[in-house]
Amino acid sequence: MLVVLVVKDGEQWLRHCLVGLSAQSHPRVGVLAIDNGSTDGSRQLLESALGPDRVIGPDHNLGFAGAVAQALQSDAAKQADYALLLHDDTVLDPGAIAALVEAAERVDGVGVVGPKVVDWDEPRRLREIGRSIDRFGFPYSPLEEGESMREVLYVSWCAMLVATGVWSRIGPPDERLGPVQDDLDFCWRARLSGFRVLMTPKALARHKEASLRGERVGTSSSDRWRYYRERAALASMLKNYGLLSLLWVLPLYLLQGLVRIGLLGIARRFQDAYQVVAAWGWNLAHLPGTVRRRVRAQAVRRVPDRSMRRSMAPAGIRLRRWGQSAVEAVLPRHEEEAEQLSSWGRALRLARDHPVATAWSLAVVVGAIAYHALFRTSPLIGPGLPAFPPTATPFFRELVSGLRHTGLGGTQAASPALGLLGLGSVLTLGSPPLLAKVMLLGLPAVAGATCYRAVRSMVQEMLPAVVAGACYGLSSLVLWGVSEGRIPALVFVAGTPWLATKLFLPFDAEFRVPAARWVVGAGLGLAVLGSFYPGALLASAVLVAAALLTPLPDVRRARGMILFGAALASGALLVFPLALDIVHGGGRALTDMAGRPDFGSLARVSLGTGPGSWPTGFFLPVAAALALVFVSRRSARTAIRAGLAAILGVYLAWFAAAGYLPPPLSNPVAYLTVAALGFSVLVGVGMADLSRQVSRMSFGHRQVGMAALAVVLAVGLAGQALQAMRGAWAVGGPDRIPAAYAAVQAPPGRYRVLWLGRTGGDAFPPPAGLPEGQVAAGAASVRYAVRPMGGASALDTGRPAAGRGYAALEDALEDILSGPTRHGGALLAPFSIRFVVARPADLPVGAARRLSRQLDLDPVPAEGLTIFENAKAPPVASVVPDADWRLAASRRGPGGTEGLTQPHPTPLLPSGQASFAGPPTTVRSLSLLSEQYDGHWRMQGKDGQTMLPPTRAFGWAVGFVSQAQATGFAIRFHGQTVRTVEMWLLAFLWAAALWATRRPTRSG
Amino acid sequence: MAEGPLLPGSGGPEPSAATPGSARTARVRRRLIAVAILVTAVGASGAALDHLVGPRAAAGGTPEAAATGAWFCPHGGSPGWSGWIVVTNPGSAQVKVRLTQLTDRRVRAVSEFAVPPLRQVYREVSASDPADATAVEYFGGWVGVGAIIRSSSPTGTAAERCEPAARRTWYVLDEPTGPGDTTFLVVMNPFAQDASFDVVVRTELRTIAPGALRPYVLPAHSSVAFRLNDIALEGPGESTVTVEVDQRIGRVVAGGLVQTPDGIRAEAGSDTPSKSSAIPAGGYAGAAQLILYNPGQDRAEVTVVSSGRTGQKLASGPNQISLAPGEVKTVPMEGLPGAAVLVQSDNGQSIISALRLTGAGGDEATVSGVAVPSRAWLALPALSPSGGRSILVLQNPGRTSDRIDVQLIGANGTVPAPRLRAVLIPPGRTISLVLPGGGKPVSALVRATRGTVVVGTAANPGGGAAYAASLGVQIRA
Repeated sequence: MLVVLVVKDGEQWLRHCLVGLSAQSHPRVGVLAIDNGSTDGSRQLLESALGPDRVIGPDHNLGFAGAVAQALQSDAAKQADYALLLHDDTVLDPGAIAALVEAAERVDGVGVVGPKVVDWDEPRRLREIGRSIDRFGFPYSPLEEGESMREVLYVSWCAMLVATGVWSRIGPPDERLGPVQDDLDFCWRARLSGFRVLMTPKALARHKEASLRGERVGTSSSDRWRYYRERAALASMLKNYGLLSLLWVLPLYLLQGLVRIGLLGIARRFQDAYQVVAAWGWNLAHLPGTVRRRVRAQAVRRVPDRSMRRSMAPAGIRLRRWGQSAVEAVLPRHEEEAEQLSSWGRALRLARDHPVATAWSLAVVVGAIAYHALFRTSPLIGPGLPAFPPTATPFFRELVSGLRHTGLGGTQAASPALGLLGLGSVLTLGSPPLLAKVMLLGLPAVAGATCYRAVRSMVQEMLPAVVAGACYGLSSLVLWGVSEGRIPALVFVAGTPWLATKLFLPFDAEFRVPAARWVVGAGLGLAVLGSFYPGALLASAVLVAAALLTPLPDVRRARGMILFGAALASGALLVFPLALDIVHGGGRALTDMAGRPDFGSLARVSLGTGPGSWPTGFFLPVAAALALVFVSRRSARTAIRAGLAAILGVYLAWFAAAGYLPPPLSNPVAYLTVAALGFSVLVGVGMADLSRQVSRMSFGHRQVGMAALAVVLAVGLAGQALQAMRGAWAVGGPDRIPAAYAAVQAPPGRYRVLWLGRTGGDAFPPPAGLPEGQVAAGAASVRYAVRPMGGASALDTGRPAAGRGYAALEDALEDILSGPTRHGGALLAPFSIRFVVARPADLPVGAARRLSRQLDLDPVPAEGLTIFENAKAPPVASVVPDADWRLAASRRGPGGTEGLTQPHPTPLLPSGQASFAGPPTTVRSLSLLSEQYDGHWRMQGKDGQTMLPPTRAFGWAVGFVSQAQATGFAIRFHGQTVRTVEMWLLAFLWAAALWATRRPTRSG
Repeated sequence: MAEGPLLPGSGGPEPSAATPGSARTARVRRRLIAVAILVTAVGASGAALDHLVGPRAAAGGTPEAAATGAWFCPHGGSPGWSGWIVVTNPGSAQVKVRLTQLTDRRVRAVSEFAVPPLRQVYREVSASDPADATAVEYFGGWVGVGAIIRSSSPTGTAAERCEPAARRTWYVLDEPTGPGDTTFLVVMNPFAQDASFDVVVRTELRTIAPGALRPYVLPAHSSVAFRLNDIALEGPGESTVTVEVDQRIGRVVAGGLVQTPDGIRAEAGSDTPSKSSAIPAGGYAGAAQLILYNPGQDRAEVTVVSSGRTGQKLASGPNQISLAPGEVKTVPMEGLPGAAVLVQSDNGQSIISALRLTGAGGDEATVSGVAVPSRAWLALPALSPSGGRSILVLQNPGRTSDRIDVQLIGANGTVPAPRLRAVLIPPGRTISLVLPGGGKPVSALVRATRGTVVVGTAANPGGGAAYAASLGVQIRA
């Protein structure tokens, strides 16, 4: 029996280890120590305890495996029947070696035996009783009580008894691996070669895990443990799995690895992600060595992989454990418990003890019922749901493009949200429609989860936080958002609890985050939320206002204000092209026209009809008011802040919906989101305080208040859940598009559709999407949207409709709806608006009358929609030879457009994303791009003649007036460079911001 | 800053089991009252916002575009005939005009010209085909437009106002197909969309709905003429042929053209039945016949009052004229000679009416009326450019006197007419004024400084036997 003791700067634990060895009951114990270049007094201690001839001291650190390999070459090792590998920070119980040897000799074929390992400082705490891994090499420790000696996949070589035959059959440990999980490979090879690996609880060892904890001199901190573990796991798989197993395990491993890398990146754990990638890189670089070792390991294989898998942890082990504990909680272990608690009581106890799991379970059930019809539907179509492209590529292409390919075109930058949507599409198997479905159906749960986290950070209790999260996730606002298909708004709703927690921090006394890190982090959050839903800016302002109105010291108030301003600037910088467009557009991007000025509806955070509009929605403000009665002094500030935010939100929403706020401030959705969050936080805070008081006080008003609160919440949440489960969503399948829309048929070419409706309304019927602006025309005032024939596009996420083109369009609409003109078709023709569409009940009578009077807008018979066709509209890109068009386009001031005749256009053929090919022409013609003007367009003849600059056609569009082009021509956009530079700068800024706010690495 | 109590009732240390229950109860009661007050205040203010303040009224638009519009003239024609469009600009800015001449299934010609302020412009158009029609678009200001056609006969002149818009239903009442009559229904589609419509012909005894005309598809930018003699000839007991054009898809404008041995007459389609109609007739020498149609579901009891210079007379005789649902009837007028008429439905049933007038030489004209008089009118000349005798008909169907001013507009600008200032029209009277201008055609801009008036125009082209008449054009504010 030879103990191979590997030492590296372990003086502080070595003495205990040697004492333990000296106290062993096993009669024949020899010790051979290998000192791996210790710089403390370890070597001296070893020599004095064991004698110089029992200490091998290489000049440098060979690592554990290298040290063992060197020890195995000694005569003592060759003569011993067993070698006990021992770490210097491990103390064996006096009977440990005897127990290990007994276990090895009692069972046939045992190659490795390990002890039960307890914590050095808390010996009552079990650290290991043998280990296993999942299919992908990740360690798993069963830690189940009540078992005696058991066969495991591997044991730690903090104390590992190895039979001599093992070395000769499988060779020494792989010195390339370590210091983490290198024991896995050794034991796995031993198992493969036919040896058994046991753990006997009769042998006890105390282990310091000094290297893992970073307490050993010369060892790195736990920062790199993920790299070592990943490296060893992959190398072990490559060496030890059979070829057939490797064919399916390896791809799955890589796939889950990619997912982990992605999740780590999203969580800003960049170093952790890098470690995974570095481990893969190491394996790739050392593949020849791994292959050689694989050959040897497979050569001595005697056990198939399926036998090995019996020792591996099954998939879903955590889920199974939760299920077992849930069953145990519901089904009593003893008959006495069964007699005391009814099934309702047991269910309530389960909910109280596991509120998060219970909430998720209920969420799954409610969601399955609520969404059952939507699961099968593809693609999803809804009033506020834009069309997602069929692949992820258009997201990225539009993001980096210098041209806007939606709306009235121009060079307005795309929102960074497109990049996130593109990445999300890649994760959903390259299917943006699937991403849309996942986001739409999943964001309510995310909203509830983020609210839970926010409230949990405030009250430190799970159940009130879960209730608050449920209130938020099932609020009328969220249900409305799902029904309408308002994905950007739902992203904003889901992110607002995080945003609120973030923005309130500088106002709190406990603010200890470095200011710069906070500013960048808050700016990052504002940038992400704002890129999806620019109205998040208004919500943040309301939240900060609520914080400012709360009584607090001036210095904290000033700090909060300054840091908020800095965060705004930081966020604006991260989306600077979008921010500039928002400013140039006069803040139109912040507007949302949803909601009606009905205080009762807004007070229950309801924005429309459909799911979420029942009066049960009043549960939220009622519960919040009830909770406010019982908040404690400790929670007073939080409660006041939440209450102020809620009240401010409701009032602002009313004034916005009623039209009393200027357009940049008119966003009922943003305000009601703040209100919903405020109510939910109040519920959580009040419930937490009340439950603490209830448990301490005798029966009285608090118990009554708690009961009342419980009733209100139960009725309200049940009502909201019932509305959701009815599934009467406005979003659905292609049948949501009015059948009459089939009448919108245009000749060849790309045209636009102008959707109109009364002001104070929300989304148009599919596929029109959300309104882009409003036109004031007295009783004939309308909201409008300009769309391609296919409808609203997700490429417009977060991007406002602004620019000269929209201003010109609104002027034209104003003339049509309130002016003396009767040639509205001519006024709309330069915009390539071929059809004007409205839902009859949604069009003001005055507007309908005006449209009917227009001589050049022809009514199209369609049941369910009011449709006018404008035969004067040319395609979006066309050559128009008509002289009156050429003259009208060149006119600088307004006027002249109403006299346009019906043109004879020839569509330009798109040749790439930013160029068109034009046909030969025989007369002087106008080449018209109904896109907002930019001076970087150029027209060039096919024969390479001079490039013609554009003119500002009709005051806003791109036009080229050219002589006859006998060989045709090309029109190209030469302004991509600006956008490319912007994108590189944005990439740098985002990378810097993410790095500045990265999370520290995790070990284990 | 010392942190005092932030919520009512939250002052002092946290209540513990040792704190007297009454103190705790008092604190909670205070908090409850405060929250109740807050909730009440919020609720009351919300209710006040909803019911007392309400949503903000939408601002009115500030349009920049000038007036634009169009007139549609389904004048028809025949080989050898001449036609003109007269355009009068009563405003202060130059107006651009585009003429689009339509004919059978095609656009014949398009031309553009400008009309200076306070000018009258004649433009010759094709009237050589029964399907000839003209669309007149104007830009930059309002203009009035009329059509005049002249046959090869010296007594053949017809004038008619043009229509400003398409309607769902057109009634062309005076389309007789008796011996010697050649009658055409002219339908024009000046729009960019193909139109389909139904044609129904009615006489006193029959309703004829030819299958080929139910529906009839008229391509965009074209016109068509239906020879009604080929559809419905008057038989014994029939003296009235009316046509109804019902639009199915698209938009059309309809009118009628009648050729008799004594001349020609044109009629613009009527669109809206009404309970009363004032028809400004004047300058005719012979008899007048009133064509009536009851498009409703109930019987109509109609009274006709003749309104002349000296007074009024019941022109429908001692008994009311009774019209069954869907009935058409031609009624000879026994009223004052050369007078206008006022047609009234005594039982509130809306009807359509038109008045056929005969000039001194036997030439006829058909005039329709208006339900509601107005304060401003433009009376377009019923003369060809060669001129003749123009008569302005001013009818006051009201109960108070009207005072009107007349401004004459000719080819070279305004024409002095001091006699036509402050003309007084007693209630229930109609006066006919011969317009000065040296026999040249002039337009009359009529403004009522007191009351409202109905204006028409009549003419004897070349001062001869030909006779033409039409309703004036109302100028809306």
